[in-house]
Amino acid sequence: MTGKRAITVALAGNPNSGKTSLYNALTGARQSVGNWPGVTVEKKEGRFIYQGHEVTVVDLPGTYALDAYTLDERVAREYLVAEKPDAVVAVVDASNLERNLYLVAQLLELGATVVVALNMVDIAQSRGIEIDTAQLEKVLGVKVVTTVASMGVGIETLKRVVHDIQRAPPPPGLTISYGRDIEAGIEQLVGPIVAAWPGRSSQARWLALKLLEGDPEAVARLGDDEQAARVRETLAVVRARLERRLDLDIETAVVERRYGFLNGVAHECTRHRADLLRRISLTDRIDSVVTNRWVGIPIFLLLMWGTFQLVFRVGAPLSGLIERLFGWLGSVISSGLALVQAPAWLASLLVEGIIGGVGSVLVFVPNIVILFAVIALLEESGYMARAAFVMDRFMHLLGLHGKSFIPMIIGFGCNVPAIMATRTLESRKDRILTVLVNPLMSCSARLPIYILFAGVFFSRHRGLVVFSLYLLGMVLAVLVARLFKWVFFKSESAPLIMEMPPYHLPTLRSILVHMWERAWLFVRKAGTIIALTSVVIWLLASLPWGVEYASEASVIGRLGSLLAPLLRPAGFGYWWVAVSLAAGVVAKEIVIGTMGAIHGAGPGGLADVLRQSFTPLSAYAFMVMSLVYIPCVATIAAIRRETNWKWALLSVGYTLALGWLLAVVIFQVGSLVT
Amino acid sequence: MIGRILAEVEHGPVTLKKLSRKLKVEQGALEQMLRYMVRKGLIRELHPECRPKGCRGCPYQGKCQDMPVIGYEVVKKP
Repeated sequence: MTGKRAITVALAGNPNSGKTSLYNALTGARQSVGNWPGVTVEKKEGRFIYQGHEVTVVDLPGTYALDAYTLDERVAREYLVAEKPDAVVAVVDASNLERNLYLVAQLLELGATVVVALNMVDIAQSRGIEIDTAQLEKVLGVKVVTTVASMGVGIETLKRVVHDIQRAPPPPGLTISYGRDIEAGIEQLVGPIVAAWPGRSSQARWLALKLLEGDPEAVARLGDDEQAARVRETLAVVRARLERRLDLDIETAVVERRYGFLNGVAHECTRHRADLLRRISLTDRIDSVVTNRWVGIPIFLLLMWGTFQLVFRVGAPLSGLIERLFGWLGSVISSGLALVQAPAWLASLLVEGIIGGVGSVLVFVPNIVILFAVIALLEESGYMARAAFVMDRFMHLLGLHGKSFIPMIIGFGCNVPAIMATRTLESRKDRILTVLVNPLMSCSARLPIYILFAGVFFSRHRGLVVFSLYLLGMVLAVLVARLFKWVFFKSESAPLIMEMPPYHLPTLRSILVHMWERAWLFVRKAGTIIALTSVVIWLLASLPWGVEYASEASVIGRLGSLLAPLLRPAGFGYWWVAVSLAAGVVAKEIVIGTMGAIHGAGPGGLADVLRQSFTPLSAYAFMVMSLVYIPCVATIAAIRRETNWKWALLSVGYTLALGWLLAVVIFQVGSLVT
Repeated sequence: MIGRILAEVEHGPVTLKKLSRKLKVEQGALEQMLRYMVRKGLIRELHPECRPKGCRGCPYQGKCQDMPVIGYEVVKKP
């Protein structure tokens, strides 16, 4: 050491402004780490020697402001007020000047001697941002040093400026005008504050401002003596006057003025290079199309249509393979059991009940996996956020809460988490409304029904038919929501600001993981709930003992026959259809599983049965009924959990009535036309 | 500025980027303003959320937090 006076410099800056890089570049290996007094926030101190002076650098926690809202802000502010370092180096990210200037302004208002380290200028330049440092120095009244801390650029200049600033006259400081009313209040408070807080006159204006903003730490700082009481009395008078006069609360009015001032500073000191600005990012270019007011929704619909084309075209040959596998398995088991002379009921249970039931559902695994691969692709690429945004606009046009579409998109996968996701809606009315219409969004469990029926009756346009069902679900959800809103709730929808993640290419691994998870869940469901239901259906179709399997005389046949007349106006008044729909309330995949178990046939055999019983018109009516009628038990339970029994029962009742009504209308009107 | 943000949003949903361009405010600064507005209860952050309970059997199980849509919703006028 040389015996010259030691200098203490605090390093302040926003998170991600390059503060740590600058700290390391300034201090090198001369660092020590501890905690700030009374808190567990890490305190780092380092040193460097410049022209014989030892300079201690205190790294303050990264903060966006010097308010008292976060622990980091409180620690940083307390240090600056109590310790009054010789200088504060404000690290400013040059590519985010306006945001970073907020902290600089607060440091200057606090009366600190500030040097601005305009960091990451290389990144700013690559984005076409040029900052007029001379103008910035003039406007803020501080020294500005450009740095690229990660590369050591500007560090020596910064050390020199920090060293020299000790010998320079005190800077003029920054005074932001907060408007006539607030300025009058500050002026009224400064006198009593100086009397109460002697020796701190340079911070009196800052304290007055903080008191007006209602900062609790600033109020506590006053103390309890007679002078402090005078400040409190004046503060109460000033605050009461301002609250009467200002449109906003005092703190918001101050913040508003500060942002306004800094917006002006940023515009005055920043120049955007036109040539680089024209180089619009790829994300911007894609967004200008996919979030466009006019083409955004058609693009979303086109992508949905394309998805279902892919589900069929790629899925069909793979499904055929699985179907043949189950056919082969059934015949092997039948022959094996015949060889060992096993009882006939065992062969019937295994082949007709379990293989017929489970096999007719598992055959759709490839289609479901493909659907989820596409959803994962759209989601991970960042497109789903855009889809939600364009649909949000559409929902607002209909007077609904735009955010409701987010749970609806989740509903394409499964209605249960979609209903849970409605918790993001603040208003209880909006939440109930969205919960009620969510089951109309076609979940993946309904897909096997569509694939089978569309494949059998609309083989040339099967993709289009499935797409129409998904679309119908969305349209119905919107219309029903509108109706329920009119009947039950009358509330205003809240406007939205949405963030869009940048587009990126999803990794093959993430898509494969998504596909695997989905396939596994589906297979697990087939091996548990669907297998169990198939056994129950087989049992009911075999009782009373001795009756012909799955005949109208069986228990299940008699039960189905009671319900079948209700379905006759819709064109599918068969007892086994009624039973399948009733079983589908357990889980929608079970509709096909039940048909398979009743007819003891895999999808191939089932297709023949369907051709004999349905027409294309009644098949479409049946698919619409399957889309709309009664949510599965897991969804009903979720609705009850998120609302109450009343709304859960309403959702069961209205979906059953609506599904039946739509199926009847489609069949009856269609019969008149065709 | 805060009043202008609320006024712009009243016209319908808007992306952060478009709002930043319209108000001629750097996006980072706008985000900071939105954070202040959240703190003041003028707007609230939107995070799709779901609980592990009830998600069993769902392809999105445990992934709801990763849903890409994040936004802000206006709560009340100042």
